[in-house]
Amino acid sequence: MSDATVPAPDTRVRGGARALLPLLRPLQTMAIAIGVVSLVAGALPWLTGQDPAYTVLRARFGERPIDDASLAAVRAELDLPGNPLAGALTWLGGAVRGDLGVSWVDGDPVAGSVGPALLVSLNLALVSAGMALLLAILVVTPALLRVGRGRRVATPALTAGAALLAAVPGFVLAVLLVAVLAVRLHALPATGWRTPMHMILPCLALAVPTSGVLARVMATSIVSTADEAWVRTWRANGGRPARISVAVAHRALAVVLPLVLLVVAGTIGAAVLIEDVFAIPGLGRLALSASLTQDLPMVQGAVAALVLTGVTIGALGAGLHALLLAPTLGAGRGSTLTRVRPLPRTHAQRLAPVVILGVLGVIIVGGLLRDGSIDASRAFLPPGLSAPLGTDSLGRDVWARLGHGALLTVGLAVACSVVSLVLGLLIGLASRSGRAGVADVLNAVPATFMGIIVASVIGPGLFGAALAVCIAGWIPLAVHARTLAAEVRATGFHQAAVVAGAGPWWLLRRHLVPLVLPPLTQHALVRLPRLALALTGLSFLGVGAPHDSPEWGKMLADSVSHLERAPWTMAGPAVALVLVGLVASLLGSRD
Amino acid sequence: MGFPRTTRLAAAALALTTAGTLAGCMATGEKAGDAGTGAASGARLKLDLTWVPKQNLSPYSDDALSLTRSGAGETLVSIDSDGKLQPWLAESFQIVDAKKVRFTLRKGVKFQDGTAADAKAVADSLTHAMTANPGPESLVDLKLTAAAVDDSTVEVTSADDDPLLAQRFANPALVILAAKAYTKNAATPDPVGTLTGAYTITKVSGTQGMTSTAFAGYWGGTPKLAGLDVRFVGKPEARASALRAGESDVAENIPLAQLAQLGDFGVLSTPTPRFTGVFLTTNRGAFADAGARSAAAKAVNAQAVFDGPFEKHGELAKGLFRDASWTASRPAVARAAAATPPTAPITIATYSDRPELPDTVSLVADQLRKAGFTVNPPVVKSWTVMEKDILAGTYDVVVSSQLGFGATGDPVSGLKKLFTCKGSYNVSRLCDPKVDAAVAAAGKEVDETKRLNAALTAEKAVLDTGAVVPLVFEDVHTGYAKKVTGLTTDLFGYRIITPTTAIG
Repeated sequence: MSDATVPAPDTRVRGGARALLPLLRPLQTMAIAIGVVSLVAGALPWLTGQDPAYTVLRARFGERPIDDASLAAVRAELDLPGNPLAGALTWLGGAVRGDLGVSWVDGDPVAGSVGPALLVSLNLALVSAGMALLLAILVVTPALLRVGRGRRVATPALTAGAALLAAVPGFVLAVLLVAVLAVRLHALPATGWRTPMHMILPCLALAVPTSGVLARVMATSIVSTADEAWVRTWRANGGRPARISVAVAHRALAVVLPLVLLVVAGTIGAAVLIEDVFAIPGLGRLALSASLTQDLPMVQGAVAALVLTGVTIGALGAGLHALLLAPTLGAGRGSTLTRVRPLPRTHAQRLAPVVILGVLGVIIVGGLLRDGSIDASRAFLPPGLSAPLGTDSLGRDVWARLGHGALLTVGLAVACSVVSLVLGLLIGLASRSGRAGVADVLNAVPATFMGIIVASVIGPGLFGAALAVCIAGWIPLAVHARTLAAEVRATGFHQAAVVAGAGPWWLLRRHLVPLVLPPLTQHALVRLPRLALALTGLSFLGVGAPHDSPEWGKMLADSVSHLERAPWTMAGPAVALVLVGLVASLLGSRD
Repeated sequence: MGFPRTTRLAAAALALTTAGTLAGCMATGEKAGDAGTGAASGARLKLDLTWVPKQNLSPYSDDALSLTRSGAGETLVSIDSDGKLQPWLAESFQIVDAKKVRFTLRKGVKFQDGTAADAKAVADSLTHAMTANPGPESLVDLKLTAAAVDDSTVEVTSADDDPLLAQRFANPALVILAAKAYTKNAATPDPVGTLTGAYTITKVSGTQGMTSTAFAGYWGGTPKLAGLDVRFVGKPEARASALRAGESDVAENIPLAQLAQLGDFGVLSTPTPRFTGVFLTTNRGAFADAGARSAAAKAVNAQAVFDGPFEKHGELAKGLFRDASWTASRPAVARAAAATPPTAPITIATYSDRPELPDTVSLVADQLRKAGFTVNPPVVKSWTVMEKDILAGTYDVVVSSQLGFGATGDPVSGLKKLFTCKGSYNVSRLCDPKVDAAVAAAGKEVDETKRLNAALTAEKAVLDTGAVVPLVFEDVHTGYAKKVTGLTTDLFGYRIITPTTAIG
């Protein structure tokens, strides 16, 4: 912004070049990222120790015995590079000329597969992110109206509503929506991706859980903005309630929009489960199957497309954020952000988490006391006296499994949340620029791809799955922290401290962390159930919870195919997960 | 002051994310579908198939199944639901001797591109398949030649004695294609408009679907349907819900868990020779010992698996072959005396691609535990990720689904593949001289009755080792809207749509 206010003393040429610099940065990041990613993708056979000729042959023939002659023929056909570096360089050389190579499995040009799939996924991601934003705005609208009228902003209903939405497992919602709206009512199509009607269900399934997180972030921003001095000044001077509401909404939007764009970039490659349920020909499925069959040119093409899109969207997000916050961050217009003083809680507010914790306690302790062993003769018993929460496909007591899986589920999710929170805070505070960077790259690379890499490096297991999820889990928090920090740095008191000669450590301890951490913690807490579910998404690799484990995400995933016959197998873990999300949000909220 | 501007910006940001709704309508990932104007006046049928093409529908890959299932491609002979060989594109066939089969072709058969499917064209097409590398599964390791004897006779000759020579030509990989199919790339023939079936493939939309129209010049008369809209839907639950939502007329391979919900729909159940069994790794670990294998085999309760995860669909397995008239004389199994279960923990695994297997592995692990074995939590991953480990004998116990018959519909080649020292798919890593001898002896029998009896002896030799405990023979269930008539089924699920398939 200094470029705009300070008259350029030099020639136009130099000013032009300097103005271009920020635009070039993302390009640089992008180039490096694509290089690294194509190298990692090209190293898959070396990492997994599997022969690409074998996996490619296996992709073409499901169960054909594989003999040396056919392996040799495929190997000759593939022209396998001698080492990952040579492979990546050859691929990059071609990619620069617009030639992404041909798929090893079907022999078709990679660009012809990646292009349409990217469009579909971009489409899916944009519409679902838009829907999520609209839903989130709907959720916080009552709070916005209250700000305008000068009433108490934070309500338990708002906190609970956001937490409820955020705890809904997307793939369960997808299957439910199909069962009710498509199969029973014939109101909307169940599969395919042809008309706008086909978009509604898959986008909704993706949007609902996201909208909870966005609503939570917006709510925190609204609550803190409502406390700022100018709101009182406006109100005291007879500012129209609607105008105050719009101004506060604007601030909340500025905080949430970078996150929305992050969601867009993240969804493009990561919607495999939803793509599966609705038979959508998206990029997530393409990248996953290519990684599994080690179709290296296809993996490299798909991941490069994801990185390219991710970084572009990230740059767009940074620009958008700068534009939206410009009035606040501009010189002399410093916001007056203040620390939120927790209001005395009402009786109901204090009681709600206690009640929910009590219910959860009963579920967990009661479950631990019950016998969850296999008894095939008791399969699919509806809830009744002998099994109050019903039994699953192998006759195991759902209640007992809930109890036995609680520690694993909640423990892992909490651990992952803490790691993400700390990383997100540190990285978010350190990155002052708000430019597209490594975070955007990691965000765009699908967790399933990451999972394959991690599993091949450190072996399958719960730890590997947690690591793969944590690698990307901190990014939304970092982006949020970055946005919050930018707000804090623009405040009068922060600028005053800087002028007074405060050191960076003092600023961090006194201003940044105290103002950034609370909303960030609330954000992390509302994401907690999502982390539990993300771990389940990697189970096809044998990473994540062991097969028979009563981990809740796994229970949910297993229940999906029996949804209509035994809805109780899904209801148990779904309700428990929602309760955990709810109690985490209520306890974490300082509103 | 800056107020209107910022509001505008916020609105613009909102618009950006929602713009996709409009812009995106076009991004369907495929070109606009042309409905195709068939010669026939019938309706178009919407078919959802399981196998997602991997090689542009090349018949030399598993994509071949989609060609015969959709009524587009035809082989010289076919295998009916009893496993018997029937004429198809060949009017008749004659087994000259152990090395030679003579196919007499139907007269006046035309390829969909209008060229004549005479003996020369057929022999050329077969020769392409015989020389392809990697070639079709049913021709692995064989030295075959095909030649036209006269206009309507093709002779196939094998270098070695081959009792199954005729059967091999029922495999979908050997659909007969016109010369045009090989012009671009002979290693992956192009089936678009080059087959002989009732429906001509007109367009393939990548791995998503294909369109076909009725072939006016079809040798069997005018097909009943105007054409087909085929989709490849890998996820079983998605196929079931598409059928129930009225988005498809026929859906292949409905998972067992969804069958109960198909109340108003027809279900065509095909008994297949595929069985789910418990395979014990014999070359190392706890189950190198025959006594331990017997103890495990005794502990496994197939009935519980059949009643539980398989929900009584299919058939409780008594051996490696499904019950038939020829298996009535099946000899009783005599395993070694059961030993006390070893105390060291054993590993057990299965793959998640077949919906019934994960529950089955839990149940089997539980049964073994109750019998005194110490069993680690089952390992379950997708087939692609774990196949090599399974074939390498990494796990002590593997729950797997295998074809008891070979790709040719012959019991002996199935046993050879699964249980002999050199077997290409020996999950148990079994190498037992008695089994090898029994399988080799059976393989030499040319006479059908003798061959089947010898197969039963070899089956007993395998089961006696305790290396495998067969649990359930699987059925494949094709769901269809009740208005659809004339669907077919066969032992291997090669065919679904026929020229007489109609709607209404």
